[in-house]
Order: sequence, then structure tokens, then C-alpha cells
Amino acid sequence: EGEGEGRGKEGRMSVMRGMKLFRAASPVASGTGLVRAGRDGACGAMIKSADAAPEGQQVRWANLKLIRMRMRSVASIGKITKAMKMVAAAKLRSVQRVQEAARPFAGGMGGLFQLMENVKPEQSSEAPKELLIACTSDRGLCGGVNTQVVKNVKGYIGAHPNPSSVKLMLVGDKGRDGLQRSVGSNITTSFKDVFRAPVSFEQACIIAEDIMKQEYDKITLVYNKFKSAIAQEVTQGVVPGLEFMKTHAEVFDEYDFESDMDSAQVFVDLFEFKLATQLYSACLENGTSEQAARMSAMDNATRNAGDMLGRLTLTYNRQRQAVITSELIEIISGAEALKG
Amino acid sequence: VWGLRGFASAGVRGARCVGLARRGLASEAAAAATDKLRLNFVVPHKPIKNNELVDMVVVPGASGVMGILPQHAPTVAQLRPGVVAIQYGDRTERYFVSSGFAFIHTDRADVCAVEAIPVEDIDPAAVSKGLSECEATASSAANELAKAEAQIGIDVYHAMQAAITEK
Repeated sequence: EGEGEGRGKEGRMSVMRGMKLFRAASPVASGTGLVRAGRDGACGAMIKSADAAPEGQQVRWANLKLIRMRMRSVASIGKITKAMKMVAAAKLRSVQRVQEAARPFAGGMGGLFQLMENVKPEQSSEAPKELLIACTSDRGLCGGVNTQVVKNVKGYIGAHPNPSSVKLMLVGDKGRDGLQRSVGSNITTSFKDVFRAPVSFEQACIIAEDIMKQEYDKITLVYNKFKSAIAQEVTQGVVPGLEFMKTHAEVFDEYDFESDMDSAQVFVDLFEFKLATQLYSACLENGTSEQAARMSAMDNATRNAGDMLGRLTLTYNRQRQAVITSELIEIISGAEALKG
Repeated sequence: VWGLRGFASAGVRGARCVGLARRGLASEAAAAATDKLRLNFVVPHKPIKNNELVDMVVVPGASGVMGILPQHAPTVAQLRPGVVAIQYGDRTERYFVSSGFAFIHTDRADVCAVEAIPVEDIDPAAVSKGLSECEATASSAANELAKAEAQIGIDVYHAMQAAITEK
């Protein structure tokens, strides 16, 4: 601590040291901590009046500025999350409309296949070729929907007697982040940019064509079922494989098959159609769930930002009042000292 | 004369009442039994007809044009490009479908098409343009797959032309 002009430079340096000390002493910029430091600074000023005053003062105002910066950033985050919530709400309405309109189609296709539901697969000696399709979103900030799917997939593969026989297909980017490390060896294909707009039947057909290139005995779809705007549940939908359909074709005996091709070929077409339909409805459900989860996540974030802003405002005001009080005390005590 | 008229009117009234009661007691069963066919005509992105009661549906089956009346035997019919005609009494609604499946169950008929549009909405100029494009692609196709796809396009456009002219 020097005197005169030297004080300016050294005063600033000691302000830096002082800020570091303050930061070390109170890592959380709580109101009470800062007030205490302010009072100490004021007391210090009474004892070593001219030297301590500048650094204590600078530190006090600097802390005030820090809080103000923090408040500004929290407020802007709150605005961003609020906008994201409204966008998600609008997208949810439009996807939900598409999904509602698409439901009768899935129902119509499913009518015939309800007969297959009670058929139990027989135990075969060789491991069945399985495909697991994980539907996740492309973008994040959508709550827990993706982690739920990832957890479900990991659990399924983990509990499987023959994990390496299960092939994994990812629809949507976010699945890759969660699954690459643990079950990355199982991943065969991945599709991205699926959910940019409500998925169309053509897209589902493209994915179905890709699946048809391999012969699978069992295909499981893991996606989020949209129950309501606040409830989305992870579901597994099973599509019985083509071979399975052919070997258990007697469930369809009641029905005549009319076609210009032989019955085997009809089954292939029927299977592909059914697969595309189920993919389509699973992707629509997942898209709707994603928007709903994002809406509620952003809503929570906005509310938290508002709470944080309120707490910071109180801290700021308390600090501001403390700073003014200590300045007054310094001035008045200085005046008194001079008088007396 | 009065007595006769009285009897006649009473008889008429009585018959009407009985008729109404019969219809009231078993309305749904009656609809399902002989008169009407319950039809679901759906495409992936929307239901065109949802649980509608119609007289008859004519679908373009792959093995031939099929008429579906109430109490048809359970059938799974593959569809090829053509017209689905739905009959209500004296009027008919015609939709062009690209392909799909028709499932006829014991109590209803589900026609699931990949794409369907009312025949009135087909633009003949666009159809002939598409047809000539597909024919050009088919003749200059690089491999079997492209040729097959172009051939499918030709079939569909031909069917569309037939649908428009057949009116």
C-alpha cells in the first residue's frame, strides 16, 4: 500500500487481490457474505482510512456489477426458453392433428393382425434374428423422452440371452449419443432428420424398404407413446417377422386371399405394408411425445429462470443498500474524525 | 263407412307403431345384418370414410374388380391402381387409389390405400405429362430397378386415364 499516485496503480492491483480474496472466501455470491465483507471493509476504512477505502469500495461495486450481469443473462435465458415453449406448443398442436388423422389407418391395418397376437412363437434351436428400432428425437432439450428410450434399449439388450444377435437401428440423432458407447457394436443403420416435420408415409416406406433387405424374425419398435401433453410413456411395439407370419399363416385361414400373385408374394407385400404402417404410427407418436416433453421442459426452465431472477433481484437490492450504507458510514465517520 | 274408415286408420296406425318399435329395438343389428355395409376407407394421413354405412363398394382387386356387398365372405384383397366406387343408394363416389389392401371382415370392410383422391380432382393434363415422362424414363432406364419403377409409374398413369375417361 503506497501513497499518492502510486496508490492508484497499487490500489487497483490490490483490488484484484481483494476480489480474489472475496471470491475465495465466499464462492457463492450470497447476499449476507457480501454484506459482511462490505462492513469489514468499512471498519477497515476507519482504521486505515485512506488506503483501504478505494479497494473495499471497488470490490463492493464490482460485486454489484457481477450480480447485475448474472441477472441479465438469466433474464435472457428465460426469454429464450419461453419462446421455445411456445414454438413447441404450436408444433405439438400440428403434429397431434396429423396423428389423430392417421389413427384410423393404423386401426384398419391392425384389424387383421390382431389374430396373430395370441400366437406364441415356438422355441427354435437357432437364435432368432432380431431387429430393435429405437425412435429418438433429432434435437435435445426435450425432457426425458430420449433417455427413457435409451434406457429401455440398453435394458432389453442387456437382458437378452444373446446380445450380439440383436441388431439396432436408430431413427433420430439423439439415440446415438446414449447408445454409441455401450451397444455401439449392435448398431446397423441410423436415420437422421426424420422428425424435422411430422413424418410422412413415404419416409416410413423408405425405412421399411431398408429393413426388408434383411430377413428378421422379430422386429421391436421402441418409442414414446403420447398419452397426454404431460404424460409420455415408453412403449415397445412388436412386428412379427415375415417368416413367423408364413409359418403361422393358418390364423388367416378364415380369409380368402385375392391377388394376381401367389400367396407367398402376397404375404411379403402385406408384411411390408404392415411394417411401414407401424413405423409410421410409432414415429408420429414419438414426434408428438417429443414436442410435448419439450414444451413442459421449457415451461419448467422458464419458471426456474423466473425464480432465480427473483432471488437475484433480492440479493442485488440488499447488496446495493449495503454498499450505500457503508459508503455513508465511511463518509460520516471520516467527517466526524475530521471534526473531532 | 265410418266403421271401415276407423278400422283402416287404426290398422294403419297400429302397423306403423309396430314397425317403429321393431326398428327401435334392434336398430344397430338391423343395420349390420342385411341393409348396409360398414366401411372404413383410410389412407395413411387421414380417414376418408370412417365407419360409414354404405350399400356397396367396388374395389380394383389385383385379381379383378371386386364388388363388396354386406355379408361378404372374409377376404384379404390386394389392390392395384384403379377406382374405388362407393355406392349410397342412387349416388356413387369414385376415388382413384394407387394401391393397398382391402380387408373384409365379418362385420365391416377396411379399405387401406396408400394414396387416394377423388376422381374429379385428377388433372388430365398432368396425367398425360407424367405418363410421357415415365415412358421416356422406362426406355432410357439404366438398370432393372429404375425400369421397374418407371413401369409402375406407367401402369398407374394408364389407370388414372382409364378412371377419368370411364366416367
